[in-house]
Amino acid sequence: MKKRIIKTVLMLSLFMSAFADYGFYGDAFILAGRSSQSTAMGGTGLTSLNGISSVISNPAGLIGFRDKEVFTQFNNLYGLAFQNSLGISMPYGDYQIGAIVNTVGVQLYRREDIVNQIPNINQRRDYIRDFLPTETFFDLENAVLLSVARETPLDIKLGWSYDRFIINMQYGANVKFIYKTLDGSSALGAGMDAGIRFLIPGHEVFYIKRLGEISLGLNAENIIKSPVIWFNKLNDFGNMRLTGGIALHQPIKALSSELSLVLDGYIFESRFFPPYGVRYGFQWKIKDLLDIRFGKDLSSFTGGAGVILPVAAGKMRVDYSIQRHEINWSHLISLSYYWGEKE
Amino acid sequence: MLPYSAFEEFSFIRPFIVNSFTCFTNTFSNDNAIGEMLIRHPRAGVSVLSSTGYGWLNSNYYIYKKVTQFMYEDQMSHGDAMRHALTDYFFSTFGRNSNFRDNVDGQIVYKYFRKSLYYQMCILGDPSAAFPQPDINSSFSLDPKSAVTGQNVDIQVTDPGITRGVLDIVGTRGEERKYPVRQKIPLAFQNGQASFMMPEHHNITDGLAQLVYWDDNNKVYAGAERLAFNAPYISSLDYDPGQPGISDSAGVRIRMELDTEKNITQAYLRLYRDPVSNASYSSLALNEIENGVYETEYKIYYTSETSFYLAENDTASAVSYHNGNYFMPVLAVDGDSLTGDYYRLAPVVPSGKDISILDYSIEDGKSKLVLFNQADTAVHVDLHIRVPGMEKLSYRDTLLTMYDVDGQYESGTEKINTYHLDFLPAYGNGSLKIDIDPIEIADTDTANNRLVMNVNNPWLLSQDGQFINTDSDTVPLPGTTFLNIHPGTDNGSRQAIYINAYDRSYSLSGFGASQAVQNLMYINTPSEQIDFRVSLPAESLNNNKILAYLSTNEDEFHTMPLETESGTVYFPLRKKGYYLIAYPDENTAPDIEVNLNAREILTRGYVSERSDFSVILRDEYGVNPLPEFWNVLLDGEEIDRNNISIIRDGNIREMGLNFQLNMDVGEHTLQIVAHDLVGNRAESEEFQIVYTGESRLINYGNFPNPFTIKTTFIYELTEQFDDLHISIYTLSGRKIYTMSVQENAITDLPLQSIGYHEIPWYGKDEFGNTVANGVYFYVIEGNVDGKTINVKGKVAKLR
Repeated sequence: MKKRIIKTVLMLSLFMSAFADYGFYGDAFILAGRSSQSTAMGGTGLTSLNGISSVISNPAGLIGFRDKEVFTQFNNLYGLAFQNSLGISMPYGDYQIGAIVNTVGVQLYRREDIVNQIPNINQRRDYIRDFLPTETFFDLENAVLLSVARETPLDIKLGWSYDRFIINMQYGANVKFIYKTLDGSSALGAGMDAGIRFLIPGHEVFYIKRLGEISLGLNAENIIKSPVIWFNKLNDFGNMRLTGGIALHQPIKALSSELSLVLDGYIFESRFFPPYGVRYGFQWKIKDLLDIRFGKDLSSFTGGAGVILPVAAGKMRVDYSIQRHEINWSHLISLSYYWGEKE
Repeated sequence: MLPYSAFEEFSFIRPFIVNSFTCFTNTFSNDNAIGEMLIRHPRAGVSVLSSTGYGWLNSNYYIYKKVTQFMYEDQMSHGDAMRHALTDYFFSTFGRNSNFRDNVDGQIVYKYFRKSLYYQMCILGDPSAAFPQPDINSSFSLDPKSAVTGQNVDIQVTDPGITRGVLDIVGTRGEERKYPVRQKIPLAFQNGQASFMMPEHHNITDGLAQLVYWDDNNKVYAGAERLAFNAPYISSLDYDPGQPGISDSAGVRIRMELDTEKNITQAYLRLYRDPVSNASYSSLALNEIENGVYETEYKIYYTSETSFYLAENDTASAVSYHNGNYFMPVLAVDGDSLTGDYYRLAPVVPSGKDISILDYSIEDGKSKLVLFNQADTAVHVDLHIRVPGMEKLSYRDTLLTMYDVDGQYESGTEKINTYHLDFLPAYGNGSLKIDIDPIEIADTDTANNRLVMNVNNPWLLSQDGQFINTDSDTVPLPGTTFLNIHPGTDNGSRQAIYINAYDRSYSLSGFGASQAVQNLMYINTPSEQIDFRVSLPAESLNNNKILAYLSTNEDEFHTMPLETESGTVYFPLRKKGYYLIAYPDENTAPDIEVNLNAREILTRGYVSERSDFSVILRDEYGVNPLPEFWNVLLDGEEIDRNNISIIRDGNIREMGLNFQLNMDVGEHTLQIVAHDLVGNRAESEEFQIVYTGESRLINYGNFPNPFTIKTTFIYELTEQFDDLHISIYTLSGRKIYTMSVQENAITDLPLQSIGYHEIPWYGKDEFGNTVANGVYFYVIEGNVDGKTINVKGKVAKLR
């Protein structure tokens, strides 16, 4: 089975490499789907998020939340576009499975190529001064991510003179599809992500009393470059990208709360290597009722809060984030309802 | 080493400098180090030529020597001396051996020069500091001129108001061997007199008293007097029986009278050729002829001003020959050998040297005569200048020639006498004879008392309505359309003009209008106002040709008033400048280019109070620069010319106008009016300009949208922004491209310039990768007047 998967991935990669002309950054259905929890913490989430909203950051996070969950999210992208998500996840044996649909929509004004149509710059300027665009066109991108994750405890024995301890290894994968329409042109795309993280009991490993859980994670996005095939157009690829992160989840007695300090960073990206940067996140979880979050993205500060309320047989989580981006303020609200036997 | 307080004593005179070989460590290691003292001193300068760790003493020494030389000899400031020394050093390293050269990245460099500059050279304190240079060289007197240790010596200065001074006692046997005996002896003057006590001088026998003194107004004097150490007790020293003459057959002796109370057992004279530069001497024996009176053993017979021979008494048979005029007495007193001062004794030299003519030329409408006086005295000279064949052209005067006060017969001293005489030879080519006759001396060489030469005189001189350097009151002007020149009658003063006439082949490229000018005559004069008339044939001005005047510095141009009599046209010459005949059929108006912020102005363009307008006026035959021939009209009204800067660059074919406009919010019109030199008028179109009164960034969006290969962001600024950039983001907010340089702009303007902008984007990221089909956000953000303004938009790429 494993050999077959590897073989398929390799063949897909070779197939995609055959396209001679292509573009990059088809990342709307990937990064724009980040949850409000992640956004509030500077875009981190590789090691700290759980549930269906975490699969954008790391599909391994899906196993961190073993309830049944329904998730929805609305994102006003800088006042220029909208992004909606709808997801569901549930346990399936030793696995946690989920699906999330992510939609991004943008309305744009159509404008003609007047630089070539009106050669005289004076006339062109006068035309533009009086020009009021009325005709619009749309960009709509619908992405579906199917995710599966599993957790395996690793019994670590370092020798007769050391304690033994258990590290939980969580790993998961996304298979994602996208359907895009832009000004009447359509495209289909597919891609895969895979992630892993290790949950390490800090006080056992480092002999520090009351040291909380340490989480290390890796996520590989677009491991088959996530090709997007346009009908009658040139094709695009997503960037293969490897990110890593570390988090400390430290319980504190006051208010029965937990502090999380999170750090994510790029390790590798194909074709385009972004500016080296690290994202920082901070979360104060109070009595499983209220979460307060701050963070710093590569270029901006973020913040947000979450409230957990008992509703019927389950609980309702409401999260809000705000981001002061170079483009504009961005507001994001998400709702999650979950129920089940264990978390 | 002087204490720090000593510097304060001199602080009001001049700054101080220390040039140091040593490194920082020694110069600045503690509070008492010289560097520390000087760097704290308000008028001090210190240069440090450090060789620490590099050992390149030659470089330091070379530059040190140069710095000192420049400061002493050329009286340079500290900073200037350092700069010149480094420059000298740099060039001195060229062409030296390979030890000086290094190879860096394939380039030959001079490594020690680099090291010196980089590691070793610095100036601290005040770079304008300079060695105290006396304002006035002055002399003073010492009494006595020779003194023993502990003896008081009086100093007398004649300059008024002297209050203080500083004296150095310097031992010397010529300037090359000078060494200090006692330095910085402070003096306080009263009524021009001060005194000091002769210091210990060990075995040094004579030297200089170098004195710097000043008054309460900081007027500084400096001078030096010879001072003999150990008084030789001389009462008198002179020739006997009297001053000798050259070739005087009687011969003389040098006689010296001494203090008889001293136990003087022997006396003789040392003979020096030059007490300043030559320390060698020969001895002349003295005989004591009576108590305390000594005479040279032999008679002295001078054969020239400086050479003589010794002969037996009353004979002319030479015993020995000598050269020199300076004598120093040497006395044996109580077992010591004491020396006295230098005494100059020389024969009487008769005045009979040559007075000659060196040169004659014409400058600024006057004759320039240069004479050479080699006599030892001022001499009157009878001067006569004639133009052969012209009775009226003769000049006679008596000149007083000066002689060189130092008796040094060198070129460039006062004995070169230059005279400017009102006499001028006839206009045009001719010959000249000059004679001089020295009056008070017998000129020993008359060969140079006459000069005959050919001159080409382009100057005319008039007085009382007559030319005074011709036989006529009318002078023809050769080779031009202009016929004759006449002296005017309005002004009777003496006036001279220089005439340089050109025909149409003359190129006015230096001024521009070469094609339009048919004839041109340039008049130069040292006078502000002149009074002449010029005539030319009336047909020269047919076909409406104009006769015009253009001032030398091209700030005045106008046509000339004309009078016509019997087919001849006359016009006045009142000022120096160009008088020209211009073609009448040149009817091309000047070209007017109007720019806004160095770019061609667009009508209906946005402007602000900070907008820079520049106008370039061009005309092949010359733009008329006079204020009444150009205008800048805002809404039809002329703007204040004081707000317009005019750019000429010495070319009348172009003129630039730079200005800013103050206006109310709303639409305005701007128009430029200009004329060329022959009167053609040009009006620019009426440019509509819009002043919004506020800083706005108007985003018109990107065209086309969606785009395949290229889209153009179009925006407009109503104000000059301090900076502006355009950033492009993916939908997730990831910045992929930033444009902030003008090379991106179609309109070839910096992105932040006021006005209309078109900035293309070719769908690439920072690294040149083609971006995917989809939507991207863009932000145009700029800063103006301390606030940030941005606009956003969406751009779709669909290949």
